[in-house]
Amino acid sequence: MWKQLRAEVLFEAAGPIAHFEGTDGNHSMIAMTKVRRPRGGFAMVPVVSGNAMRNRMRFVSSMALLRAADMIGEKLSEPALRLLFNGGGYAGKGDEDASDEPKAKGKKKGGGAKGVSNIDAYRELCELVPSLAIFGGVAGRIIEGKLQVGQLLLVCEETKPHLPEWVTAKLATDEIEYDKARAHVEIVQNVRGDSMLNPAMRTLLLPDAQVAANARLLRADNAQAADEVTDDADKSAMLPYTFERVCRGSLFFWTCTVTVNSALEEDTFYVTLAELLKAGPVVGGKRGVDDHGQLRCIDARGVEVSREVRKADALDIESRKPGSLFVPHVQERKERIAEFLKAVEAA
Amino acid sequence: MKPLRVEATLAGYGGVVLSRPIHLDALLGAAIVLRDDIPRARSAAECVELPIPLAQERGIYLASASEYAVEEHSLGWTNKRFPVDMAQMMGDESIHKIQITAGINKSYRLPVDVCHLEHDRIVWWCIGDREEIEALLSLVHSVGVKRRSGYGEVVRWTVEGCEPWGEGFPVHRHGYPTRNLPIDWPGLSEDAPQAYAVVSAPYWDMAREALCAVPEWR
Repeated sequence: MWKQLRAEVLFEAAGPIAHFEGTDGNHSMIAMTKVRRPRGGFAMVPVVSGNAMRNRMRFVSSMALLRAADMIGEKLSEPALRLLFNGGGYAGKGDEDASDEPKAKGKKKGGGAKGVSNIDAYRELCELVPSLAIFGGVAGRIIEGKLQVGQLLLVCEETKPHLPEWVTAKLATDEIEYDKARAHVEIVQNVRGDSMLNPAMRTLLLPDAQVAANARLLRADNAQAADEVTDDADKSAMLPYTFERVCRGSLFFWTCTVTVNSALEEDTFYVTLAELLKAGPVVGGKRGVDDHGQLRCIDARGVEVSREVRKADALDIESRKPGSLFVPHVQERKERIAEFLKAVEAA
Repeated sequence: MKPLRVEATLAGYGGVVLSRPIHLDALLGAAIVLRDDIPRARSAAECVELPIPLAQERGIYLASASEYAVEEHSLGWTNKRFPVDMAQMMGDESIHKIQITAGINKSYRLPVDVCHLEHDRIVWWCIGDREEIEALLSLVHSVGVKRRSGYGEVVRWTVEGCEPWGEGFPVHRHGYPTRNLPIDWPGLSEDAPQAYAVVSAPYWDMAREALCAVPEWR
C-alpha cells in the first residue's frame, strides 16, 4: 500500500493566540512570517509554526496510544516520556552500536553487524508504537517521519491569494470579509502584582519579615520623595508587561500531509487528526488565562494527493471509523508496549 | 532519455530553508525511498542502489543541482523542550531531576535562515526519462530543510523538454559546474570554484568528501 493524504483545515481562534517569537524589554512579540504579495514584495503576517502544531499532534497521538493500551495513570520512565512526547533524543550511540534491536536495558538479542540495517527492528518499533512510523523518532535507531505539518496561516488580505479554492469559496458564501493582517493583532498590557504593597498581605508575614518589608517600603518611598534612584533590593516586584496576540475569532488555515504505507498507518493518522480536531488544539503561550491558544475546527477537507487530479472532499473522519484498526492493534500488544516503554532507551 | 528542465514552484508563504544545493538525483532518490518505504540509512554503508531515471556518465548522474536566487531572507525559529509537565504528571519514581540545560534533554531554540526565492522558483536541468521523473516528483511536496515544520512547500512541478545550451549540458555551463563534479571533468574552466564536497549521493556523507568543482551559487 502507498498513499499520500492531506488534511486541510480551517480553524477559528476560540481564544486569542499568543504564539511569541521574541521579546523586547517587557514586550513580547508574536511570530510572523513573510508572505509574497501578488504584485511583488512581501508582507509580514502572524503565524503559528508548523513545529508547534506538530508537537500538538504528537501529544494527542501519544495520549491515544496510552489510552488504547490502558496505560493512562501508569508511570513512565524519562526515556519513554522523551520518546512519546518529544520524539526521543539522539546521543550518537546508535550508529556505533552493532545491534539494531530496539534498545532495552538487560535485553541483548542478536543484532546485525555495524553498517547493516536491521529492518526487523525498525518494523518491530513501528508495530509497537504505530505513531513512530508517521511522526518519526529515535529509539536506538532514527526513524524517519512521514508527516509534513504546515504553518497555521492567518486568513487575511495578504494571504488570500495563497488559500485553496474551497476556503475562499466558503468565506465568500459566509460573507466573511478579509482584513489586513495588522488588524488582527492587539496589544495587551498586564501587571504582575507585588503582594508586599498590600498591607493586608504584609500581616501574613513572619514578624521579622514584616519589619524588613516595612523598612524596605519606607526606604523606597524616601528615595522617591528625594528624587533619588531606588536601590535594586528596595524596588517593588511589580512588573507591567505587554504582549501581542491575534484576536479571538480570527481564522487560520492549516495543512498536513502524510505518506502512509499500511492501513494501520492510515488509521493512526486519522486517529491523530480526530483527537486533534475533536477538542481543538491549544497553541502558543498564556494558556492559563483568557482561553489563550484555543482553536476550533470550523471546516476541513481531506485530499488524497495526486498532482494530476487533486480533489478535495469534505473531511468526514467519523465515517472512516478512526481507531478501528489502531485501538485493537494496540490493545492486542499492550503488555509488549508496556514492557517496551519501561525498558526503552530513547537516547 | 531527453534533455529536460525541471521547475519547482514554491508556495508564496513560509519560505524555504536551504542548507546546501539540492541535487536532482538526490531528490529523485529520496522520492524512491518514500515510494518504496525504505527505512532511512544511518550510514553510507546502509545505502542501497536506487533506479534513478537519469542518464549517467563516468558514474555521475547527468543532472544539475538546484538553481535559484534569493530575493529576501527572514528569521525563523525551531524549538525543542523536554515535556517537563508530562514528567511531573506521568513520570515514574526513577525521575528525580531533569537537566534541561545540558545533555539529552537540553532545550534549544535555534534560529533558522528562511529564504524567499525570486519568482518562488527552483530550477534543475537533466537528461532523463520525463514520465518517470514526473511520477517521482509528484510524490515530493516540500524541498529543503525543516520540511516537517512546513518550510519549502512545493505547489507545482513542471518537467519539460528543453534545448541543451551546448557543450557540458547539463552538468556544466561554459565550463562552470552546475553540480558537484570531479575536478578532472572534461571541459571545466580553470576558474571553476572548488571545494571539499561529495560528487554522488548520499551528499551528506562527509567521509567521501574530496576536492571537486562546485556550482557558483553553493
